[in-house]
Amino acid sequence: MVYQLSFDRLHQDQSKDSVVLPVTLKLGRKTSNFEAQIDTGASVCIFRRQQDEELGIEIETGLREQINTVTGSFITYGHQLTLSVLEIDFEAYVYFAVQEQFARNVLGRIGWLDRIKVGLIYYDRQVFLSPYESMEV
Amino acid sequence: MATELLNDLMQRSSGLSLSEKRRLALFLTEEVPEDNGRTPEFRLKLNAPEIHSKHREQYLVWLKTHQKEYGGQYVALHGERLLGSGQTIRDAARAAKESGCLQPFLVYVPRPEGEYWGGWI
Repeated sequence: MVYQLSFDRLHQDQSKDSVVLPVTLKLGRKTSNFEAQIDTGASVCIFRRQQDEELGIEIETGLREQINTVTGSFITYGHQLTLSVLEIDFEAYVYFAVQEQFARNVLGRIGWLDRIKVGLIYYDRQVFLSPYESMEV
Repeated sequence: MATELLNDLMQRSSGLSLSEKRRLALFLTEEVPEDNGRTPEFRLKLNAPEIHSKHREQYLVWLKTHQKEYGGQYVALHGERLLGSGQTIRDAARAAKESGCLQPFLVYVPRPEGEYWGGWI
């Protein structure tokens, strides 16, 4: 049995030791550009506070959520923004860490992985991506 | 005969609710072939920025207000309307389509007691 998937975007960056993608957050005319790791263990997309501030958002006005880790927890606030990865744009709730020491940006399951198709060849640092548009319901 | 049937259907459909009319419109449109004779594709377009970015404040208020009621579920919203809900994003998309909306805003409602994990480490 052979299974085939097709994708319309490819990102490759041999210089990185992890699986990262360029991300743009949009709010009106303001944008924030950065890189984020794909993390299937993260329930949601979690970004540094700095990204939120670049967009001029008052972080504490969002949806307050505690994020758990194996060593403890931290507080985030969720905001609806336009999340753009390799020019696949959609509105999503993403979460910003309150603590400025939080230094990671991750693309998680809810809000990103649950609405795209992704393929990975880590050997070549290749990430294949498509929007999940052909949803049969 | 066809005109009589059409008039009858139009008259009877006037008693339907708004969401039922949307469902009927979607059903009838799906039955109409395109000029090339093929059945048109009616793909869902989820969370389109051009539609849903203007409803950000509404959706935030909705989520805060209904977190207890819908925590742990995906919901399909469009402006002030709740189109449906379900345990998975597919369930919510199906509910949106059944209500006659192909361009819903799908969002997961986090449980009030918290449930999110920050990653594998």
